[in-house]
Amino acid sequence: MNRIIFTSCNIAYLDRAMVMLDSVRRHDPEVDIGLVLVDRKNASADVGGALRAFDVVFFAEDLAIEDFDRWIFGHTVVEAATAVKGPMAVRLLRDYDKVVYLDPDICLYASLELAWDLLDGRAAVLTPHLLDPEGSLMGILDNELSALRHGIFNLGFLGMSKRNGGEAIATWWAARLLEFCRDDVSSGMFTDQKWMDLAPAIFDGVSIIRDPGYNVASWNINMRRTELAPDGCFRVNGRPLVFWHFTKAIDVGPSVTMKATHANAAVGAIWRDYLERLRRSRESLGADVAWSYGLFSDGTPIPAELKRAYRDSDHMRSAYPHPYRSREGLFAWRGWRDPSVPLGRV
Amino acid sequence: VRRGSSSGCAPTEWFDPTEYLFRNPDVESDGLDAFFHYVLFGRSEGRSIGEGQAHLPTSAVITQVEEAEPTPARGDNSRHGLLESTVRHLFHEEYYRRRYGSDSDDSFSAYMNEPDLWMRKPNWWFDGEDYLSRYPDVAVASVNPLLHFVVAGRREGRKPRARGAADFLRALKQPNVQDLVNSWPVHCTEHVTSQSDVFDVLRLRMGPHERLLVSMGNDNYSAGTGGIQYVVSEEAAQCALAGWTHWYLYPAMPSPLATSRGSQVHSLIDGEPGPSFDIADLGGILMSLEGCSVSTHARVHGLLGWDPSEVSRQLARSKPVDFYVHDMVSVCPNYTLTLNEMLPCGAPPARSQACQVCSYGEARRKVAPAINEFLTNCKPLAVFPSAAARDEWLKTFPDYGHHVTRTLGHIEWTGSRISDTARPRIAYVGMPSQLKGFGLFCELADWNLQEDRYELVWLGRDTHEIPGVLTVEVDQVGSERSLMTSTLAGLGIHAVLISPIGFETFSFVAHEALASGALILTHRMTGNVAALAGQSGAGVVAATPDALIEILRSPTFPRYLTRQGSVRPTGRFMFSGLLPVTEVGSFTQ
Repeated sequence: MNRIIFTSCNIAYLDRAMVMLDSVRRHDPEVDIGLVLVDRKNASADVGGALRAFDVVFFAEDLAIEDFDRWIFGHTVVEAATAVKGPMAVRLLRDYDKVVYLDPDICLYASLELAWDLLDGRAAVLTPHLLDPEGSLMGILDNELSALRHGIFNLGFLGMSKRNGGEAIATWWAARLLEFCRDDVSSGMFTDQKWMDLAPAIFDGVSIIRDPGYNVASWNINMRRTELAPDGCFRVNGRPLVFWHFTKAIDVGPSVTMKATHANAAVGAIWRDYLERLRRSRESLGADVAWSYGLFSDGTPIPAELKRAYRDSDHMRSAYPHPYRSREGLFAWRGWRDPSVPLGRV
Repeated sequence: VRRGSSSGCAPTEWFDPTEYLFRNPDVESDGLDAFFHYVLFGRSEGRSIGEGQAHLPTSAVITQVEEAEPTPARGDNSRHGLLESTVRHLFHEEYYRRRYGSDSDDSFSAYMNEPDLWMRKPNWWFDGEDYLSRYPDVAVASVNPLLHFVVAGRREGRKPRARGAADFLRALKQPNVQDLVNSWPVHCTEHVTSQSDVFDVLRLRMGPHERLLVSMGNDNYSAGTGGIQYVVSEEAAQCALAGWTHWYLYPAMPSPLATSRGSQVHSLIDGEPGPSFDIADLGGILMSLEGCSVSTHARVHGLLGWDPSEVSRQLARSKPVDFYVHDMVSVCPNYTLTLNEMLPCGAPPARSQACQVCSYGEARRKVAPAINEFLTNCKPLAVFPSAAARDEWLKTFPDYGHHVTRTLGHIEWTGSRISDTARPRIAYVGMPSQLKGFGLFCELADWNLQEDRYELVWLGRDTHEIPGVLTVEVDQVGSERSLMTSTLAGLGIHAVLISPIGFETFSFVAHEALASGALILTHRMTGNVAALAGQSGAGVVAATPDALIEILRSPTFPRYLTRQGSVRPTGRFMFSGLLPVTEVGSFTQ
C-alpha cells in the first residue's frame, strides 16, 4: 500500500516544513512526502534545494484551480494555503492509497502507525482539538469556546483513504474549500476546519483518533500531562508521544505553552529542541520572503481587506480580471489609501 | 478592530494612531496598523505615544472596572476603597524596599502608577514581568499587573507567577552546546615541544624519582575550584610525599564535550608548568620512559575536552590505566545527565526520543563508539567515587567488570558546634548555576523576603548581591581546603541547600556541609547527594525539587531545623589514598 504525507505552505513557512519532513523521514521512512507550495514559481527566494527534498511537489497554480489568479487573489495566505489542501488531497489520492496531511509546524516523534492502520478500513481519520472537558474558566474560554468557533477537529492532521469512501470525502471537502475557505468565524467559517465538523455526520467511515499522543498543542497541553519515562520515551497522559503541533513557534507559542504547563521541564525540553531545529532550518534556507500572491505585480502589498472585498464582489472581479496588475484601479474602487503613495501626497 | 484600523480611528482614549505615526515615522513604512505596531513592538521598544497618555492612571482603571461591574451594595466608594486596600495589602513594602531600594517616598503609589516599575515584584509571589509576558492581553491593556490580578486575573484562573517561568523561557533560548564549542577559535600555542624534548624535560624534572603518574583532566587544576581539580590537587600532593612524579595533562583547548578541538596538550609537572606538546606523541613518550625503567601509571580523571579515540590510542600500551568516573561524560557528553539541561534524564538508550530531542544527543551518538574503543583497548580500571556513581554508570555499561568503588574520602568527626541564632540559617554553596540548583535557592530567597523564616547565606567565589541573602566570599583557590567547612561552621549554618538538576557522583559540597555540622537539604534525583543525606541521617531528601520547596515553606520546618541543627558534630574531610595501586585484587570488585 503506497502512502504519502503532504503539507501545504508558502516559502516563508518552508523552514517549518523542512523540520516536519526530517521528522517524517526519521519515523516513517517508508512514506513519500509531498508539498504544495503556495507561492509563484518565480518567487525571489532560491528554494530549489529544499523542494528537491520532497518526493512530490506541486505549485498551487498547477492544481487545476479554475481562474487561478482571480481565485488566489481573493485569499489571504492562511486561507490559500489551507484551501489548496483539498485539491492536493484529491490529486494525490489518484496515485496513493493513503494520504495524510500534516501542517508544516508539526513534528513527528514516532510513526503514525495507528493512523495508517485505521485507514485500512476507514475513509478518513481526524484528531480533535480537545479530548477532555476543561476544568477551569480559563480553559473553557481559551480552549472549549475556541474549538466551538474554529472547529472540533484540528486539521493540522487529516488522513484519507483511497478506498472506504475516502475519495468522496476529499472531493466534497475540496469543492467546499475552493468556494468557502475563509477565515470568517462570525459567518461560521474558519478556513478548512469548520467544514470537517460536518464530515462524521455526512459520511460513513470517519474515525476520530482519541490518542493523547497525537496532535499535542498549546490548546490542549494543559490537559495532556507530558513526562519523560525511564526508557527515554515521552508519555502524554501515559501514551507515547507521536506528534506535536508547534503553533506560533517563533511567536507566543513557547510562553503560552509554559503558562499552560506551569513550566513543565519535559515540555520545555521538547520545545527547546524544536526551536533549535527550526533555527537551523531557517539558517539553511535563508528564504524569509513576502508571500508572492500577497503582492501586486509591482511589489505593493495587498491589504487583506482588499483581497476579501475582491473575493466577495462579482463586480470587482469582472472589472479587474487580472487583479495583480490592477493596483491603482482596485485601490480606487473602495477609495482606500494606496500604501505605495506617501501620505503627504494624498 | 480591522474596520477602525483602516479608517484611522483611535482604539482607546489613550492611544492616537496619528500621534503615534507622527512620533514614530518609521512605523508608517512597515505597513502595520499603528496600534498593532505599538502593542506588538512599540511598547517593548519604549516608543512614545504622546505626553501623559502612555498608560491609564490607576484610578482610571479602577473606575473602568467599577463601571463595567455591578455596583456593590455598600455604595460607590466602598469598592474603590476596598480594591485599593486589597492591592495595598498585597504590596509588601519591606520586601519591595529591600529588593529595589528606596527610590520614592511612597513606593506603593510609584509602583502602581509608573509603568516602568510594573515588571517588578511587589511581593515574593507576584512577578510583574512574568505575569505580563504570560498574559499579553494584560500587557496590551496597560494596567498595573498586580491590580489586574486582583481585579480580574485571579477570578479568571490566572496564575500570579509560573514556577520556574523565567528559567523555562531562558532555557529555551540557550545556544546549542555543539555550536557554542564550534564557535570557539582554536588557538595553537607557539611553543610545542618535540617528543624527545618532552622526554628530556621529564627526566630532568623527575630527578631521582622512578615512578611517574600521568594524570589527565579537563583544565588546569591549580586555577580551579571544582571537585575534580580538588582531587587532582590532592593527588599531586600525595605523589610528592610518596616519591612519585605527578605529570598532569590537559587539553590546550578545553571543551565541555568529549570531542577533540585540537591536538595540543598542556602539562604541569608536580604542579609547575611543564611542556606543551602534541597528544599524538604521548604514547611514544611513555614508551621511551618505560624503556628507561621509569614505572608509569596512567590515570584519566575525565574525558571532557579529549578525543577518547586518541586517548585510547596513546594509552593502549600503557598498563595500568585508571579511569576515575567523576562525572558521566563517558555515558553522555552532557555529563550531568540532563535532557537539554532542563530535567534529569538518567541516560536512556541513545536512540530514544529523549536523546533525539536533546542538544547533546547527536554528540552522544557520535562519541559512543570512541568511548567503547577506550574501554576496550585500554581496559582501564573504572574507579567510582560512590556507589551511586557506580550504579548509574553500570546502567550503560552493564558488562564492564573491571571496576572498583572507592570513595574519595570520609569525614573524621572531631568535635561539635552550637548554633544559637534566633532563626535557622540555610546556605547555598558554590557558583550560581541553574544546574546546581541556584534557581531553587533564589526562589526560597524571594519567598523568605516576605515570610522571614530563615537567614539565608550564599558562600562562594563569584557571589553577587541578592535581596535578603547574606553573601560571603569564600575563595578556595590557594587557600586551605577546609576553608568552606570552617566558614560554614563559623556561621552556624543549620542546613545547606544542595539541589542540583544533574547527577552528582560524589559532591564535595555535601561533605563540606556535613563536616561543618549542617544538614543537607536535597531531593532524590541528585545522585550521591541524596545517598549521603540518607546514609548520614543528617538531611532531608524530598521526592522532587518542588516537594523540597514545599517542605521549606512549611511553618513547622524552621523549628525542626533549629532543633536538629543547633548542636551538631563537626569534623574534617579526609582524603582517601589517591596513589596508584597496582594490585587490583586489593580492591573490592
